This record gives sequence, C-alpha cells and structure tokens, in this order.
Amino acid sequence: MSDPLAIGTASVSAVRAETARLREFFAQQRPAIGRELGPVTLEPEAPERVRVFWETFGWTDDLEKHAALSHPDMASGRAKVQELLAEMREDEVELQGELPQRYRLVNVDRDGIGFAVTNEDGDPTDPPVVAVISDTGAVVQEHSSYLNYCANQVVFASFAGWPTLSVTLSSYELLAAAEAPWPLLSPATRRLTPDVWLFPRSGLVVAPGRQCGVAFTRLEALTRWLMELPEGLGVSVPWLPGKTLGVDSLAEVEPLLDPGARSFLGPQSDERLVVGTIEGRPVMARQHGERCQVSTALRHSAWLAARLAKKPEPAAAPPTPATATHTPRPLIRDEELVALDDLLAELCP
Amino acid sequence: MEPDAPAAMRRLWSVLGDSHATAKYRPVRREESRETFARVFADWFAEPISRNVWSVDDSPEAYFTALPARYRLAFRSSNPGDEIEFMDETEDVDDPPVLVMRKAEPPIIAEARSYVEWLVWRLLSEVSWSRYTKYYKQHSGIQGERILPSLYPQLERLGDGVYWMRIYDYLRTDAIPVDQSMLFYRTLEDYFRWLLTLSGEHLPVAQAPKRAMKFVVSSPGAWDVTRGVPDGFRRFRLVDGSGTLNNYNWRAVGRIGDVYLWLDTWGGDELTVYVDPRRQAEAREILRAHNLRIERVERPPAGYGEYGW
Repeated sequence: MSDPLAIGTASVSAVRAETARLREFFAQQRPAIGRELGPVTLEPEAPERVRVFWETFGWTDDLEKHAALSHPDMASGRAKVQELLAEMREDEVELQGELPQRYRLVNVDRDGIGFAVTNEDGDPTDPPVVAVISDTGAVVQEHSSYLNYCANQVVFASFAGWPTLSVTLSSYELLAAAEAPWPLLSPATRRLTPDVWLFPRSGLVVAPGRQCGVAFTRLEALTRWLMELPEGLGVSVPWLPGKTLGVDSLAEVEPLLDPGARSFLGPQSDERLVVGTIEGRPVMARQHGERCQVSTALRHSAWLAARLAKKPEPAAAPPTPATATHTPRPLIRDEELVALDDLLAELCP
Repeated sequence: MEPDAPAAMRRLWSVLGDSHATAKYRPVRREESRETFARVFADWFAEPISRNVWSVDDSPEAYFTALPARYRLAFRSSNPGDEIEFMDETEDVDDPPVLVMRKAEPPIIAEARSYVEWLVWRLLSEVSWSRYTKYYKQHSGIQGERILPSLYPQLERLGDGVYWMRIYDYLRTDAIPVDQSMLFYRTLEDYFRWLLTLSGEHLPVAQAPKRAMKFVVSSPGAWDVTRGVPDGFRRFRLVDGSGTLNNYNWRAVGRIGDVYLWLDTWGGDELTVYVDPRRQAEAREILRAHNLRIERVERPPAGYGEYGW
C-alpha cells in the first residue's frame, strides 16, 4: 500500500491519471454537476501537482455548494480572503498568527466559523492547509495536504446520492487491503465491492478508519458484504439502514433467518448486530440494551411486518400520481387577462 | 400549444406577451416536456437513493411509469434538479392541477389545484423579487381593490404602483413557502410615497423593503428616530406578525427634496437608511449635508433591476 500521503512525491503523470479517474467517477455519480465542469487555468507559479489536479478535474461553481471547496484560482481566493479579514476587523477580531505569504483559498465555512487557505511558502509540492477561526482570529494547522483535502471532498460529494451508514469495525486491516481507486489522492477510499464503498467523511481523513462511512447502492449489496466479513471481527452501527421496525428481541428475528446469517458483537457487551436474509430478502437487526430493531429495504417493509406478525405499517407509498381535486373556477373574464398583461408591463417596462 | 391543451392555459397565454417577464414560464409542449423529464431521470438514475425509493432498477425509463398519462412541464429550466413541477392534464379540465415529483421522495404530490393561480403567483413573484416586502395585511385594516377577481382574487391594488397578494391554496405539506403573502411595488419610491398617505393607525404594519440600497450610519444625532422625528419624516414602531407593537424597532419614512428614505434602528448607535439604488448619489449627498457618516454600505443584490426598478 502507498504511504497515506505520498502525493507530494508521486510523479506528476500519476497525479494526472488519478485525477482523471476521479473526475470520471464524480461525473458518473453526479452527472448534472459533472457536465458543468469547465477548464481551469492556474497561475504558472502554482505548485505543479496542484495545477495538474485542477486542470484535469476542472471547475464549476457547483463545487462550492456540493463539495465545500473554493475556486482554486489564487487571485480570486486572495480577494475573498481580504473581504473575510475585513469582516473580522469590523467585528474587532484580530488575527492571532501570520497568514502565509503565498496562499490560495481552500474553503469558507458556510456557518461563518472560519476559512482555510493553503500555505505555499517554500514551494511545497502539495501545500498544507491552514485554517483561520473567525471568532478568535486563531490561525491553526488544519491538514498536511491540500490535494488530499480536495480529493476527499470530491469523493464525499460523489456519494451524496448513495445510501450511507456509519460502520465501526474492530479492525480496518481487511478494508485497508481492498482496492484503493485513488491511492495518492484519497488513500482512505476503498472499493469494497462494486456496490459497496468506504469513503472519507471529511477532507482530513488519510486512511481507512472510523472517520470513514460506508456507501452502498442497495441494502442487498451491504448485507452481502457484511455477511462475508471474517469471523471474529467486531461490527457496530449506530442505526439500521432501510425501513426499520421495533421488535422485542433478536429472538423474534433469528429463527426466521435463512442459513448463512451472521452475528456481530459491538464494542459494548449489550450490543449485537445480526445480518442475513429471510426468504432471500435482506434483513438487518440490532439489539442495543433493551432496544431492538429490525430493518429491510423499503420495498420489502410491508412483507417484513407481516412476516414478523407485526401490525402492518402503512404500505410503502407506491409511486403513484397524486390527485389534486379539481375545483371548477369562475369563468375568467377576458378583460382580466388583459389586466394581468398590463400589470406585468407596468412592473417590467 | 397542442389543440387539446387546457382551455384556461391557452386563453391565458394567448394574451400574455412573449417578454422577458414571462420567458421562464412560457408553456412547454408535451413532447418537449417528455424530453426534459428524460434528461432529468437520467441524472436521477445515477443516484442509488433515487433508484431505490422509486423502485427503478434497470433503466431511467421506469420513472415514467409514475407520471400521469398526460403531463406538461410547468416551466422551463435547463436543470430542474431535485424536483420537477408539472401539470397533470390527464383529466379533460380547463385548468389542471400542478404536481411535484421529487428525486428521492415518492410519491408525486400536489402543489396547486389551479395552474392559472399557480402561474399568476409565480409570474408576479418572479418579476417583483427585488421590489417587495412583508406586509401583515390582516393587522392593517386596509382593503385594496381586487383587480383580478376571476383570475386571481387574492391580489389587491393598494395604491398607485403598490399591490398585495396572498399565495394560492398551497397543497404541499413537505415544505412551507418563505413568503405566503407579499406587498410589491413598481418602484421603491411608489412604496414610500404610498406609505406617506397612510393614517397613523395604518402605518405601523409597514415593513422595510426586502432589497434596497442601505447606508448604515453611526451617531445619527437629529436622525435618531428612537428620540424624535426628523423634518420631513413620519415615525412609527413595528407591528410584528402577531400584531404586537415592538418596543425596540423604530422606523421613519419621509422625503427630502424628491428623494424618499426609510430610516430604521433597533436602538444603539446605528441607523440604517434605505433608498432606491438609483438615488444613491443624492442620498449620499443628503447624509453628508446632515453630517451623517456612512459606516457601511449594503448594496442590493446583483440583478436588482433585472425586471424593472
């Protein structure tokens, strides 16, 4: 496996190739944004790998909203930073440290907590990231790699349309050995199966671990992957994915499971996760203290309620058209149509 | 439009001109609507959550089974995004309902019983987005003139170039519109001029314009409206949405020369002066003449004058 953050020493061609694959993946997952990615030209003195990353990935302002990244152009970012610093001065907050001489804006926190810039003093190949806290003026080291930060944000945004789950494992060795699609740019990301991925939940994650989430296309894919995990591995989830039902205990569910179901202990002695199928349909169940729930895919929820002899919940609403009662309206007078047209003309001369 | 398009829709659009004001809402033919839906569904299909909740497994075409037999996109958009508004024209009615299909949340839900009312609200909201304010008409006792009683009875003309309207019967339960009624005006000066005609009893329901050129001044001196009334102004306190008089927010509206101004303060040392962006040069001169120092300028958003001033 590559060193978690080897991007600064990797060849430029390797960075370009990974970035091209990242762009392709992002555009597949978020086609409406991917179509808008346009060319970027950074200043000639930008770190070469930074320039290659953005010139290969491209830019659209949608990335500000969806990936919480700022335009990589140094000049526009510096102008924005000057505005933010002026706002801090208006609020009588002074910077508690020096900003780098050479920097580019990384992102601006939407809630006004602060902003982050690169530190490009000393010509780093992959600059570190420095954060400024708006309320205190503190200047703190945020992350060691700008490119890892950007790539992680893009990976995170790629999975916005996937169901995701927090999964805590007792060991991440197995996951670390899985395919790493972008080992230089986002070494925390793993393709566990074509339909199950481990992804960094923030820009700061450098390796598979608890700061990662699991994204999956369908519940069946997730349960199949969980059922194939090695014996002895501890698995914990804070909630169940899919449609959940309350049950008294796991004993209500386990006798119904098809052969091959798995049971995982969590870090706490009163936590247990059961994963399997009933009549071939995916089921997960979780006991935590006295609380016990079972879940399946939305489309199977009515079936599961019946199978568990639970009071049937309202069936998952079929995607049928809504009906809005048509109310006959008074006959529209011609002169009012003209009056509306006149009003629009009055407002928009 | 097709010959069998709903009659009220055809009548309305045969009168409305093809202008910048109406461009976004010009009717889309059914065939073109289907092409747009196909593009949107292809995007939605890329996202597993959307595929799962709509039970679309193999092809984006399967989303179409959720749509009524005859439908029409409610307005033009190159990227409708996470939800699409459309008319259900399956029933042979003059004025079809407006429905909404959401990317990750079935089923399709109803938004409005009447396309005509939906359209009037949308058109007037769109063109007056920079020229409106909240206005608690229920507390004002002011009754305007209904100028479109058969077309949009919730619209009233309050004065020259000043209008109020309430939203149509909004059927969605998954979202609450930010603005359910609005007072809008031809120009900011029309609004201020109208306010100066109101009685002292009616004036307090007036709200500051949502968008304007704003100058924040410190040490307002003779313009400190918490203490008195500058020459040429009428002073009042805010009445909020519950009809309660606010003890902290003081306002004044008035005219100096031919420039109308709105003054607003929550006490302290700051006063915000609202003015029509076209009159900002004169307003700066007035502030200078009154020894008022501008601490901060809040400019109207880009595109303020897109539809008119």
